[in-house]
Amino acid sequence: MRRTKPRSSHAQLNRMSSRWPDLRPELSQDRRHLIWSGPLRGLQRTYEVLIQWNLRGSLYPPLVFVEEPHLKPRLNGSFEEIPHLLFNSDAPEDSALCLFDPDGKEWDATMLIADTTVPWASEWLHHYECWHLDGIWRGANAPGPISVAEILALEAEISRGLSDG
Amino acid sequence: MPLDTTSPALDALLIGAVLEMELSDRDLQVAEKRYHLIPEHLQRPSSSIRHLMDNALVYAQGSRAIGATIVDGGSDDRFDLDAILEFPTPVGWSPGRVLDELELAFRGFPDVRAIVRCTRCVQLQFAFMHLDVTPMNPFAEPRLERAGDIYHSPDLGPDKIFSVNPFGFAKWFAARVMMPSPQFQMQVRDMRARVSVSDRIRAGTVFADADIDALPAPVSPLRDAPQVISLKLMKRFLNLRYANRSIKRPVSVYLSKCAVEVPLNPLGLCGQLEDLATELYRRMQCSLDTGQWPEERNPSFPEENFNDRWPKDVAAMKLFQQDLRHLLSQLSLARQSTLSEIQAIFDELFGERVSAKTVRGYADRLPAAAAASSYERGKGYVAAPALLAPSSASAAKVSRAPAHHFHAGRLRT
Repeated sequence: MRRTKPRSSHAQLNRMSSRWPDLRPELSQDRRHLIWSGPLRGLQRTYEVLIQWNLRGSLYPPLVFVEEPHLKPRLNGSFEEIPHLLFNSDAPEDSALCLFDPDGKEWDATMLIADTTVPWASEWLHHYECWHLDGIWRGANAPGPISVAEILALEAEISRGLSDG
Repeated sequence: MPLDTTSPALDALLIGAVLEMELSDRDLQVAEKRYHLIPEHLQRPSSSIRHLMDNALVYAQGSRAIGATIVDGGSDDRFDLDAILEFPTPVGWSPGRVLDELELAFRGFPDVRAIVRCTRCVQLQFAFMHLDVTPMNPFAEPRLERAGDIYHSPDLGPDKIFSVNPFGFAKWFAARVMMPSPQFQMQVRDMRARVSVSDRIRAGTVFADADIDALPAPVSPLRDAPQVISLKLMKRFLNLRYANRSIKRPVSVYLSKCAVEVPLNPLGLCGQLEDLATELYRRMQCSLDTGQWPEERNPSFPEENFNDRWPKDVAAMKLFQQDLRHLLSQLSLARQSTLSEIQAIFDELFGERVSAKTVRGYADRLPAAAAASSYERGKGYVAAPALLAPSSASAAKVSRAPAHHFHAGRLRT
């Protein structure tokens, strides 16, 4: 039977410490977020990541930020072209990773972050390294644009279409 | 020990690199055909040594006998093979004369571009392939299987005879190799099937295709053993390091013996190669510290010293150590590098062509469709082509994460 009850912070902490012992938990200063930070492997090198989970629960999926080394675009490219980000236009290097399709309901609060978000983030880093090599994203894509650059281009096209019409 | 003892992606890339260095089945068939042609050619009516060939025996030795043949990589797209040609020395023939007569007798060999009389062998040079044929005078019966004397005849200095048993070494090597888990072997075979190694020798240019197709590709099962894979990587690395040096490189048979004496590393191929480099370094250091010259003997025939021609001096050992240090430091760096950085490291260690094809091949084999993915607990994602652990007993614990699709959007702060 499918679980319907959201996972408690205790359950998330326990699972995380058993699966990812190097990710250290702490409470944010405003006590609204549970934060894990530590190393996570991409293809071969490890990255310092920060996982932020809003304790108010189910409406807020966990966010993953890459702390070190910072995300960077491809040579002569732009941050907007990096695939699958929750893009932060004020500080692009502080964008979060966009790891699941919200329309596909691939994540909800009944799930354990250690079993979903963290391995997905590692997979994202793996594909990010391959993308840096040749600009091809080889992970599974949700329908629609894969980057904010594509979203912006689509919006511009729609806007042109509207003004032409 | 590196921070991350397991290296699934790096191991997959190392396997990919080795597969790119391998000979295609067709190249192996062409080589086999040439082995078969040696006695045929030397027995032809106009052959000056026809009368010596009645009981002659030809068989592969060196890398071909132990599944460790690779494309050279140092100078061109060539591969080198070795054969022993056993026949009794005619009374009164010096080592130099045996080699000279053999060189003459090989003239007119099909498709040969040049025939070079070397110090111990006659080298048949074909497009993309060199075949070193070493004549051997078999010991009188009863003898240790296929033991005999080979000839040494340098331009300067006296002729000599060396007693050897390469066949015995190959048998010892095969018995000593530790084969990995069936799962590992299957994965390597699957990867090989997808790589499609290109033929160096083009179809129809050498022999009629029917002649070649009739021969089975002589594939050694040893070629997928981690100890043999580490040997191939080491040989390729040294081919490149010595390509522009005028001094002699460490001999393959010495490296082969060391490679198979290094125990199977359950953590993977990168570890296996590091272990081999560390062991070779240690042996050099031991010789430098004690003043006792390296003297690896053929375990099946202790009279045979594999170090009779290398190292020539202390400088040769120190240079080798320097290369090994470089290899170890680059592998350590690769363990903590991104894919682009690993490609640059592989460019230098194993050659640009191999490196580019390897990295592209790895990336292209990643599954594009959403599926449950694997991850190593406490470390991270393991891509499907990288699930390689030579020993299932010590394989990293792998768990599954649910299938998902990456998405794109704007961060609401």
